Amino acid sequence: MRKFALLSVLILMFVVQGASAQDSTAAFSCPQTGGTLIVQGEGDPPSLSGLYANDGNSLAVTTFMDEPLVLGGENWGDKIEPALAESWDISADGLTYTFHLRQGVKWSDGQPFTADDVLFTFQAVLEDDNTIDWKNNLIQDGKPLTFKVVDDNTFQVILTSVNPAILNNLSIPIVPKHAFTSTSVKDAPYNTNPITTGPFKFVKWETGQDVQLEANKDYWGGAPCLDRIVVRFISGVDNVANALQAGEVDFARIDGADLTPFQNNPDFTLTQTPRDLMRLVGFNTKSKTVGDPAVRRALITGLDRQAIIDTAAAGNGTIPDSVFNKSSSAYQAGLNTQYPYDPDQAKKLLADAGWKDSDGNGFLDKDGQELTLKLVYSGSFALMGSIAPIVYDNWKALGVNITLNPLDDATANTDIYDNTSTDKPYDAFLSGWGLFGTDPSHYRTFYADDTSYLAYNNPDVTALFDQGDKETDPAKRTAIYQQVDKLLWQDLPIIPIFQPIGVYVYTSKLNLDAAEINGTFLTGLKYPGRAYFTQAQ
Amino acid sequence: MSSVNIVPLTKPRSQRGVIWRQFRRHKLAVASAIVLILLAFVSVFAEQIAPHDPNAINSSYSHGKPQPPTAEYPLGTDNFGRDYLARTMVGMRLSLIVGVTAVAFQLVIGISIGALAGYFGGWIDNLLMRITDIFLSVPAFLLLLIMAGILGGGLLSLIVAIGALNWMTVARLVRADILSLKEREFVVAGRSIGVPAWRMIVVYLLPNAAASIIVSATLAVPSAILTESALSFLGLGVPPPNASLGNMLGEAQQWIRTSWWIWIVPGVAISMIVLAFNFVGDGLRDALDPQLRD
Repeated sequence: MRKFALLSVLILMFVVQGASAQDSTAAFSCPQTGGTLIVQGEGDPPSLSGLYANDGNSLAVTTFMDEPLVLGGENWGDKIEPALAESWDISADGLTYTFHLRQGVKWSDGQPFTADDVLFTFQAVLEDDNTIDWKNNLIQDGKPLTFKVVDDNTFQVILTSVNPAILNNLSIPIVPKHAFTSTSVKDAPYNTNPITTGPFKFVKWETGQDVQLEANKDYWGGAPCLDRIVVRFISGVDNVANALQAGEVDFARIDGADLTPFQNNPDFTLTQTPRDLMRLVGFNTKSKTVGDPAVRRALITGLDRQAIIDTAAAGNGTIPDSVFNKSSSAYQAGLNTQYPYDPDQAKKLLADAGWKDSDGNGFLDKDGQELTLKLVYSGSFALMGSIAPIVYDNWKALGVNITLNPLDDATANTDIYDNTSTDKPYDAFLSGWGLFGTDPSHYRTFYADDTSYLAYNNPDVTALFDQGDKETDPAKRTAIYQQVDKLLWQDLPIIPIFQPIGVYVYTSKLNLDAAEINGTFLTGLKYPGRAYFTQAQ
Repeated sequence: MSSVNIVPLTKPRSQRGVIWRQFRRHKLAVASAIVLILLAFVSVFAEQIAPHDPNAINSSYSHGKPQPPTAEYPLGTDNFGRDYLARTMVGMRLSLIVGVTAVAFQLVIGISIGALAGYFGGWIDNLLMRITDIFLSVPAFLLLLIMAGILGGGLLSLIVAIGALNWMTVARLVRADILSLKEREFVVAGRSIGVPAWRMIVVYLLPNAAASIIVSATLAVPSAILTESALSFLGLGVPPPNASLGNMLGEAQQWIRTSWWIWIVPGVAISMIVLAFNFVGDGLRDALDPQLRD
């Protein structure tokens, strides 16, 4: 018996190991199938194309439909894992990556997925006219990476120098070549009618109302348990809470509503998990008033960030002590000295920087320039609307002539998000960012490029980012980025306000254990295909 | 021999006196007028009267949820802990300012166009009235949304936008009045002795059209106030954190279930102001009626 037991244990070990050597996206057997899951979304996305999905509204939909070669890059979680690429080999010199693509994967229109699609996607990303955010991911030393289609299922990426973060960079959603007439993807019909490989596929977009998706029965990871997912647009925390109770929504993330109806309520399940996001005030570092880091240090000292967490997020947040999100590998707690909320100290810092109220009008000025601060933000983003008045109140009390300017979506995009000029029409903006994955080199796009929203150009920081791109020793690399963190924490081109803790509320009829609630995915779910209703719907 | 003194039986009645007496008969109008005067007073002195700063955040008191009325905050607070009473006062001031100035602006345009059209007639009348028709056929609110989007938020653009889209009724009324007055003897006489057109209009004709102008102005104010509230509700009115009855209602949407004062207070305030102006307008119309019929 013992021998048999030992033998079976050994066999079991092999079997288990075999299963994990294969990636964890092996088919999941659904205890129950069917049903429509209604999840909450904030509002209409600007587009449904994975290539342009870099904002909350878009990701709320595309994360269910799109897939990159590997997970672990921006918007795709915090771990490098195989997705459309089953495995990959790295050459001895570290310059050639050979991706073995998953076989038998089909697009949602039935066409086969091949390496040509990967090549097409990367070419489209590199094209300037497409203005895709990840263009710089595919550029090394000023030149685009070299790509090679070896055969239908093998794709090679050739670097000019070793880049430890290249897998994160390549984690971009793949789009089908046959869905486009050319590599000009900016205004393609694809953007309102996407064709994808993921567990769910696009059905219909009712603008202003919802986006409807249905299960991709041929999904390589196994047919999803659910029949359909509907992303319903409901904005405003109390509206979401109401919708959950009324059964109009099955799964939602609530940032700040009254949770008492859901606590100790058998009809609902509540899960809290930190989200890989940062809410921040970003500065136009070329501004006449806030261009001085001393002023920015005064402003962070005069901002009651805990009050913002309490009011705008019902206490579900943590005050950051770094410019990096916690999930970044370079983040180290306690590395930087925190700026505690101290309005008197803030006033002193402003006075030390030369700002006094010389004309008695209640606002500080210096050399004839009044300390004006034009704060812009996206008016349709309810969270920003609840943060703005507090920022206004705190900074007005310091003597800053602050004005709030909520912008409509189109203006927010042209003025803030898509604005590549160094001449910004604002002094500061309220926004958030995140889902960058673990590699800190991503922050380069904000801090080493003065056409980003921060218009920030600090040669010391840029040099450090350059070093980090090349350093292969992980310990040394982390040290380099920690240097960046220290410098930026002093210079404060952004004031990190808080990192939210997501509270996910969903009906108890839904089982999400295998789907994995994960705050590094915008949708909150890592494997949406594994969500199922415990009773037939 | 005795002399007889002729003494008038009653005091001579002035026109203003007649109007005032007629107005007094309309009890609701009088009450509303008093309410409006009180409101105006509160609005002007809002900062002095209000116990708290309308924009002062008190998040340690509110914890992100609106707080109910207490002795210290008679109308409660919003979710930022801002005193609702103070915000309502400031909001009412804004409504009154926008209402009155938008209407003033609208009167300037409307009277000018109506007077010119009525007095000169001919192709000028045709042209101006066709322009008026065009403006009337445009869905005003949609145009307002577009204008508010283009001009950006802010008090001035709000006033200009509302005024620029609501002058048509006044124009038509004034034109109608002037057309009917134009054939009177004093006008014909004035023309024949060469009184210049502008003088005829400003000094002789418009004062006689005053009655309908006053009434339509009084009734236009609540309409302007409601328009401003609607725009603010949609987020196109005055920028935050300034309080406006409309944007208070907009923010109230998500707290309707839990905090009744959040939406009742601005709602009642708007209704009160609008009703008051409507009643006063009614009363004025009744009081000025004989003048109108003349």
